[in-house]
Amino acid sequence: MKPSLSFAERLGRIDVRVIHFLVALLILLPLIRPVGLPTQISEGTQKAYDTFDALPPGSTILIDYSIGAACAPELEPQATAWMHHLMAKRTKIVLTFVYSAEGPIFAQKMLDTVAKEYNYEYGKEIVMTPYRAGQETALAAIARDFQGVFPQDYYGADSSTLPLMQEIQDINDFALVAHLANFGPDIYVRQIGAPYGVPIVCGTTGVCSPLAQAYFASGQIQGLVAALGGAAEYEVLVGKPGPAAAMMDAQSSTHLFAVILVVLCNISYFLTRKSGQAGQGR
Amino acid sequence: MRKEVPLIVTFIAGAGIMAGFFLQAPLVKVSLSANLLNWAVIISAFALALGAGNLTRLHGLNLSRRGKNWALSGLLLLGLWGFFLLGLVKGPTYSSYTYIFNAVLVPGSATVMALNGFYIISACYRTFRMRSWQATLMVLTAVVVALGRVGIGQAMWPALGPISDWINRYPNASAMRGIVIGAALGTVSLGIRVILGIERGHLGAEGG
Repeated sequence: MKPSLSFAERLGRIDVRVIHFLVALLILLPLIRPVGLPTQISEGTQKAYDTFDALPPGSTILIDYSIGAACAPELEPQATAWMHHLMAKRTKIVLTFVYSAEGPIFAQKMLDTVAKEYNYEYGKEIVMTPYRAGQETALAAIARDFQGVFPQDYYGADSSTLPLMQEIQDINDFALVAHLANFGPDIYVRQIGAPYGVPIVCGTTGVCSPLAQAYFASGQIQGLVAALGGAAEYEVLVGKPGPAAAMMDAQSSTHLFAVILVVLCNISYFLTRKSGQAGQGR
Repeated sequence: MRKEVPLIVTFIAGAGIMAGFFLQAPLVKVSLSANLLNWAVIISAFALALGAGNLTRLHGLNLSRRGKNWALSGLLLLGLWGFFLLGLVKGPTYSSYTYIFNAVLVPGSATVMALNGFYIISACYRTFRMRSWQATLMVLTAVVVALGRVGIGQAMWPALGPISDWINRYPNASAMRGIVIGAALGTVSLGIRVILGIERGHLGAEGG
């Protein structure tokens, strides 16, 4: 017969299925009924906003729209908030896709929604280039010889027929480079920021933000929008509450639950340690 | 010649691209460096095709031999070539093409990514025990950052947000910078060894 577990031992051995069920519940409930928790603006997001905001009217910027399917829930709300800000200022935008062949599908979705809302004229105010393989090598080639890498746009139109493409020879013709990718800004700093001195704004996922912070702290990137939290902050700054704000409630509840679990497992650990029974949870 | 030619090509490609960063002469910066980079982009595209071909060969063999999980191999080939052909024939803006992407690939990939959240939380519960002062420091930092980045934590104690920002900006950034600089020094020394032909691993067994 198995000896019955003490309360302290039970605290340290909560079944993983119970934890997963509660996590699912804590994600679903706030999504169904958002609470609308307040959002503090982090320094990185504020600087990103200020950098975009300081662009002179009619500036041309490059956005590497490398959103992939797996990171879309974090990056798409960031992209939408950025686009509202930039398009309200009538900034000219060239979209590239260095890190994700799936990026053009997300960009097309944005063209069909946000760009339409602002009556953006394709070819004059915004252009979509095709995906180029090679990642960092492709970015280096784009920086050095933009026209050579993109003789055509995403739809197969000759670049010489697109007024916006004709304005660009190399990376120095852009007032700023921004990127949305499930990667840190290191390759953009290496291939664009350091050799050409073009300012960089980074939009990235939560897992890549610790690396990105190193470049933001050193001033090598001018702004950093990190993860869903950054997207929610940007939505607040542009005054367009969107999906990120709603999803942040779900993230709040799960983060709090994780902290409660950590507290419980440590209570169990200290109580059972005294009796020499400290063990592992399951 | 089987060794020498690849070594010369490696030297010209590596040194040429490096020279493009330091020299402004059009012959180096445009004719050599920019063209080499453009070629590399084209070669990378071939690498994608090679990957697709290799996947087809491996899973085609598995399917034809009724090997382990052969049905999944069939599904993979159907997805790979079905999606490719649909995009090729109808174009990437075709409604069914984008529908399959938006209705299958996006939620599927996001689901797999989201599973990490479940595992991370149960892993926190199993491992975040304050057994030593180092572990205590890690647990406290994790708690502050986890709560400081979300609304509920900021509502509980408004200082959590700035403290979380400070942790990210200073201790985290300094540690990451050390790692990045260390990795960069390693990359530079490896690059120089490859360009000079000292490191020959990329040439295969015969090159060494």
